[in-house]
Amino acid sequence: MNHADAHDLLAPLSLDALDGEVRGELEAHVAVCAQCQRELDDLREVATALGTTSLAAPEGLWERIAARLDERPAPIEPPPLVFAREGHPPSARALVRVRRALAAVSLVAAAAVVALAVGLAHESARVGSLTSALASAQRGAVATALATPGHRVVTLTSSSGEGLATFVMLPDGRGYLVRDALAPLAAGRTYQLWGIVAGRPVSIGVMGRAPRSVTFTLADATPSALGITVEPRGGSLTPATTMVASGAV
Amino acid sequence: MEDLAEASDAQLVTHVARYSQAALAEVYRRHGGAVFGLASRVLNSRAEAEDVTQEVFLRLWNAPERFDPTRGSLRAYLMTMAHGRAVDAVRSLSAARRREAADATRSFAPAPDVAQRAWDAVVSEQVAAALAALPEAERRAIELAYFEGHTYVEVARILDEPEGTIKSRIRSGMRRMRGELERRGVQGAEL
Repeated sequence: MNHADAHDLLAPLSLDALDGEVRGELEAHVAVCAQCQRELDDLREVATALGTTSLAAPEGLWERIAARLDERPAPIEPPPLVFAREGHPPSARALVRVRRALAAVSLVAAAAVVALAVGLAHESARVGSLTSALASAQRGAVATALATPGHRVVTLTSSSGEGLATFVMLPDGRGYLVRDALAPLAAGRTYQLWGIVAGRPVSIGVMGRAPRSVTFTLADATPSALGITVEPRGGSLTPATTMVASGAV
Repeated sequence: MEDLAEASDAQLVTHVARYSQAALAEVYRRHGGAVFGLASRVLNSRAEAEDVTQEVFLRLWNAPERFDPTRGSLRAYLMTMAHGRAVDAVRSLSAARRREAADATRSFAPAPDVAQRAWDAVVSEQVAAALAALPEAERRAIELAYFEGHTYVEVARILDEPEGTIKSRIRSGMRRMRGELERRGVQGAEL
């Protein structure tokens, strides 16, 4: 999506009146275009005025929120992932199963992220990452990728549909993290990115505990889906925990 | 702890980042009613609006670094999050279930932050006046999108107009709204 097309759609975006691919493309552009970001921020303030009422929140709601601040979900058992058997090309049905499995695991996964953020993060980790700007070198690469013909924008969502990470992938196998809403992890943990290739999870790389700038190159395989897990620092050979986010390519 | 009631919104978020529940409570006192009000207007269900409100404040608690004070007000950050979640919920619910879930959203407890609520009343009055000043076609397009959770493509179908027409009506309507609100003394920074 070029700048003029993007600029044209900022007002509908500020009202959340876009969905699907267009929304992903536009959000990816906004993440790297300072002018569009400013304009969108401005429009969001107008939308906020539009949505302002003088209602009071219902009685007891704060108490229910406060009760959940210390919530620690039960330890998570990774549900079994169903992948195609080794040696057989994955059938369409197998891929559907994989997607379903990803959807099922990410259900527990949103809870996992919250648990890690609340339970493990150190105070300094929370305070230390008060900026979320993309590194400037990465910003240029992402902008170039978004302008390259044949690029694909892949949005990884939690089971509740919350967009947790957006990647742009080029036909030559390069990929970049455009934006993410992944809560910083405690020291000793990392996010790890996986591609589902021929029905099996293949590690693409570790993303660090507070991903800001991620670049990868896939040599010869196009994954049918991307997924993110939380792993011990250094990463794992096979996904050891549940997917926190996933999305079809 | 110093007086949180005097702290700016951005200062409060810094305290939230240090696990101050009192700071989060103050953020809720200032903005909880507006977040709930918007969610219940979009969702037309008190129970679901409560869920969205909980999610919004838990999200701020768990990832306070996501709020960037250089990009806009805390109110807009929270309302944007609430609106996005409410719209997602509307789009995933069947019409029948929504009607079932719909209930009266009246007679709430009084807002804890009286001054903020009074100001919100002024803003919503000015917004109503600003909306009324828009050309009917622009107002209708904005309301269908923002309050009923339709995409602009759906709005075009509902109003039987070309998509491009709706897109530009929303754009010019929002621009006009901004001008009207400024003229009436309501600006983003004051929200």
